[in-house]
Amino acid sequence: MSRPSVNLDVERYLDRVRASLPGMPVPEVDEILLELRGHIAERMGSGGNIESVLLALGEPEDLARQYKTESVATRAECGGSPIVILHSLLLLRRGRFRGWAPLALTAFGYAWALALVAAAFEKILSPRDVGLWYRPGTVSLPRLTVDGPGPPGTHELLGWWFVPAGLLAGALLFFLTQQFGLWWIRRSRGTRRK
Amino acid sequence: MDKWEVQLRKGCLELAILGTLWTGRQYGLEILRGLERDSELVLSEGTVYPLLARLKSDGLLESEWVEADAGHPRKYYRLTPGGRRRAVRMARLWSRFSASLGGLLTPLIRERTRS
Repeated sequence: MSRPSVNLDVERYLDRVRASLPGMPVPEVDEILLELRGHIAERMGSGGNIESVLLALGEPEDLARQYKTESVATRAECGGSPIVILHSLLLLRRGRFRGWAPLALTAFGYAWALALVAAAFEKILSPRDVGLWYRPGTVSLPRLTVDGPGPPGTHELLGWWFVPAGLLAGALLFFLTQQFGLWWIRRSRGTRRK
Repeated sequence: MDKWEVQLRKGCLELAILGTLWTGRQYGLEILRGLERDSELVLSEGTVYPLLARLKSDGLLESEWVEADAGHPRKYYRLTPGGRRRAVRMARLWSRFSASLGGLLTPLIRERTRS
């Protein structure tokens, strides 16, 4: 195989690795490609042919997936902010459907946690507009309002206790959502290494 | 090679890499060659580089780029103090684990030799 043709194969391989690493910081990707380029050159320098060298590294998409999994999982476990966790879940999802459910569930959990904390603060500012309302003598669930008093015939359930209860519920939901997101990321990492 | 064997090899790869770097810094291909020579753990060369990246992110390894005569820079890895502690802990655990399992499996291995 001629030299230009070999170079073309190497560049195509590395381009496919790069294309499969969307969302990963550019310096990190550049470093990965530089290391792989060196590996390929050195393997070929010691007598390997391009096909066998690239075959030994595996499909570029599989290789990129392993890098991606290790990288985002580590970042999520170290950083732990909701943005990082949601971004990690977004990158770790597989195919068109798998992985969307945990991502949606985590986003939903964060949104509700934020809403509960916001409602607790809103209660301080507009005590009459925010609360949990129930209709005496019925078994229906209390209704949460943040933009005005409850429907006629209902009574507020918590009063000022809504503030600490809302903050506590929001913090608890945030914590549980965080743990769920991290658990799924760790699970994905374990699965990917298989 | 069955699935269990694949899992076993991959699970041990982290310890093997830390063991390979125990004596000093090495670059990726050097580590790979060491693993190929001294162990049967490497299934695909592509599994080693992402694992090195993760061990570095975990703070167990540190790396530096060194210009080489080969015409391209090499990324050298070395154990951090945390990596050395982790390697020792894993090696001790492995040693204890394999010794106890070895005793349990001796009759099975003898049986296999007989048959």
